[in-house]
Amino acid sequence: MKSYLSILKIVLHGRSAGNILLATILSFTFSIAVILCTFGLMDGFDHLLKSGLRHSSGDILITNRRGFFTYSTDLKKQVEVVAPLAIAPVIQTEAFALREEVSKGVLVRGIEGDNFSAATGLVLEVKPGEIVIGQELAAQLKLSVGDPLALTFSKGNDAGESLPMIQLFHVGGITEHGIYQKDLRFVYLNRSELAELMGLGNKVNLLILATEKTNIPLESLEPINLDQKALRNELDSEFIVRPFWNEYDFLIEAVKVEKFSISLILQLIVVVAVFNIIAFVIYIMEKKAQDFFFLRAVGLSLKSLNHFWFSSVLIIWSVSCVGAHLLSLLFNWCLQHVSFLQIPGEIYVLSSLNIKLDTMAYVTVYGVSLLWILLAAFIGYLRLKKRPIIQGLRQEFSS
Amino acid sequence: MSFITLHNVEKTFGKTKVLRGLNLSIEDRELVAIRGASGSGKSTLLYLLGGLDHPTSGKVMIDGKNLTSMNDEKLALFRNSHVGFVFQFHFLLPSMTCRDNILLPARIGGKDTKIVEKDTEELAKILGVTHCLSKFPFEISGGEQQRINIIRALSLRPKILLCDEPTGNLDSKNSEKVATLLKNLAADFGATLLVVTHDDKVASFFPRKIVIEDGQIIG
Repeated sequence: MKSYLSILKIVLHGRSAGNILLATILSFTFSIAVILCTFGLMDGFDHLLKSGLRHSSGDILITNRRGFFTYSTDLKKQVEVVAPLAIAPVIQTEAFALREEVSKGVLVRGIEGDNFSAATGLVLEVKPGEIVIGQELAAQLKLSVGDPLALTFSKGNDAGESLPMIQLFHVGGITEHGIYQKDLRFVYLNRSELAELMGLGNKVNLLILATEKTNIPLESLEPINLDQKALRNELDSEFIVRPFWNEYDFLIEAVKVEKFSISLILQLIVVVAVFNIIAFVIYIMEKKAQDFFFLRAVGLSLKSLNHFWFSSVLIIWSVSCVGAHLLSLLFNWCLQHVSFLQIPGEIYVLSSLNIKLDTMAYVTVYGVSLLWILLAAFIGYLRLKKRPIIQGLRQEFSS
Repeated sequence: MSFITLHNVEKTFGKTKVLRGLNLSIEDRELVAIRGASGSGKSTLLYLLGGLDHPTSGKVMIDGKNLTSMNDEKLALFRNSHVGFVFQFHFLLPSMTCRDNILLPARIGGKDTKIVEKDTEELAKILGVTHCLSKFPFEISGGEQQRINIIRALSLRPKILLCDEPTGNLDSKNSEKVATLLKNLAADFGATLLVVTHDDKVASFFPRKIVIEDGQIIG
């Protein structure tokens, strides 16, 4: 320890050495932080998207190729094969929401409040004559609870079947799905009321199943995959069984590919930082060459000097890792609280992102950066080993 | 068996043969001056005796130990515990006080610095540089730096004291002082002293003189 501190004192003597070391550590910290944040943002997007989708979609969706179907006892028995925790029969149709000469295309869902909430985790109470809308739609149409909102449906009334049907409702509640598009497009009505309006009787065109507990975050999609397969085997071929993320499957897949490819590209940033470390090593070797050769002359072995270098490099790496972690926490805080860092909701599906990092992400990023920095240490070691002491002493004394 | 023995030692740097078939014996506690012109190989001989390098061929034996067969770590240990170096350019590290410079070999060797500090205080008193111990090298004179250098070389009570042109930077009056000082300290510490010099007057202070010319001992 004493000899380590003595050598460290020599290395850091002089303002330039200290400043260069600080700059080196900062650049390495920053490069690791960039990769950590990228990983974290992608994992955060993945997690948030799936959580948001699940929050309002349930786990498995069943539709019929012919459109509307009856949720019969037989069908119920078939669906029970996966022992769902909740089943919500839904009528889903498209409509236009009209408010003060502004119209918006919406997806109307006729639901039964209790079983829909149990199946999706989205707590809604829809009374007849009332409509529940998403917060984005409410903001764009300037609606509050109690305000009137008209919906036009494609089905005509008895007297004029070619004409759209217009029905007036009152806003009974404003909900938040966690996904921008859903908050803008989804509206909820009482199912019986919608079935009566559209003359559907007891028919539905969508079944939403919850096969996992809705209030517990899902770490793996495998159970849902298995349930989906089981249902496909059980149900007739006219039924289509899809997992909740199916709608955004392409996006989730793209994020996975992008995460891998971008992490490879970002290694370039780490390489640049590693070159800074190599430059620092070379700078110290040349500037302090005299001192190092003298230390060797009075008894410092090459092995001890190498221990010093590798220990120092590991300390630089450790400090950089801690710094990178703190930077990623800071960036995450800024993402949540600084307005110009918010994701534009009109373009992206989610209106806010956070950085989510698991153990594997840390191990991967820190592990790869450790390999790079050990390479820098090895180059330093090779330079040290190259010149014998006697040559170093003679050269340094003659200069 | 002599304390220091060289058997047919040769040293080549690239294509240049600096030492040619050297044979030499030095007894314990001998005081030796190694004389020769610039480029004759005297400093190279000194460094080989100090374990700073291996000969290209031949054998170097010191106190029964074969330096030629030692690896880097063993040589480093040997240098730390057996050898004290006094270089021409005092080579005090500017980042440390004179006291820390003196304690450096002890710290590198993992020795107890308290004992070394006690010896340091005594030596500093003898050499009249007590007031320099807490100062940095750039704050003291050249002569004082050389004396600190000598204290550092003796800090671990080495068996061999190797001095490479210790008076090279000094005037004749101070050269005499340093030469006498080295002789007396080596005798007090029971160390074998080898001083490389090109100055005949300095060489005259030592009972035994070895003359090197073109890598060979001629006298």
